[in-house]
Amino acid sequence: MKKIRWAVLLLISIIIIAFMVISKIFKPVGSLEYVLPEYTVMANELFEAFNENESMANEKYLGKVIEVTGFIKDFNAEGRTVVLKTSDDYFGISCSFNENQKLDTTVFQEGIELKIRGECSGKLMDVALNNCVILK
Amino acid sequence: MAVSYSVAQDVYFTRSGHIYFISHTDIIDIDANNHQAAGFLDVTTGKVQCAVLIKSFEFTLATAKEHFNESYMDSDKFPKAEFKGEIVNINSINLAEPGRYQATVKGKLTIKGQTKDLETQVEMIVKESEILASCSFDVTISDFNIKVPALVENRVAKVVQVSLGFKYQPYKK
Repeated sequence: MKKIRWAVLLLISIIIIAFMVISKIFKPVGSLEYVLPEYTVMANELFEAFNENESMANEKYLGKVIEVTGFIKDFNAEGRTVVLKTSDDYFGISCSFNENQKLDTTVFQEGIELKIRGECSGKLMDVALNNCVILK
Repeated sequence: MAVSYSVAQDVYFTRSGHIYFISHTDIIDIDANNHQAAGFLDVTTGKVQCAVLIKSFEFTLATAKEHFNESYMDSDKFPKAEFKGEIVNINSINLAEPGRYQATVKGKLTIKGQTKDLETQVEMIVKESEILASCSFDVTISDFNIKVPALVENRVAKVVQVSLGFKYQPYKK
């Protein structure tokens, strides 16, 4: 009887551990909606920080959750990205929205002010934010 | 990404190039999308250049994203990957004229600080005010010093399939 009890306990433990491992592996990327940002900046301030000294800006912002406020310059529906204006004529803050996120694209019109929270991925031509959520 | 091209009508640009990759194994498929790749194309000389931020790849699974950035790509140390090359058959195609062309692109691909030669066929569709370019190629991860721990090596493909779709527009800066 004792052996059966141990066998059942062992089986239950294995099932629980397997469930935990599988849940971890298949856990979707979480939303930043309730994650507190490390920095809150204006779009131009962020862009200038990377323009002036990219390695210092990377040290400060790379991989961090930040909130950026700016005006929409461009929207790419297919790529789920919005570009916020900066003082540069051409380049800005490119904000990408994960496919896990619901996205109301009706707000994406040129000139509309947005506050966006996302993870900073660095700078190519634009400064990039990823896994973004819209705050207003 | 240093832009070495002069500003001219024959230079095309994208800030929202799409790069997709998939690691396919019998146990799990791991894939990611990046819609923020930057690229330049000079239709006269055939020079092409593109770059992507490693952290900009959007994953569906949180663990895959974490392992990709921290364990495999070391994206804090190597935040960008880039390709510099040229269309070798530029003299036999006319990218100034609307139409569909097959371009052979040859150049250097740099990932995680390692540079390797890459040659691929690119389909280019030239329209009035934009050029669409698409291609796919394989990347052998060991070529770029990407090491997978023995414990999970059966979950990560040794060869990753990569697809690109770029919509270039005239660069008017």
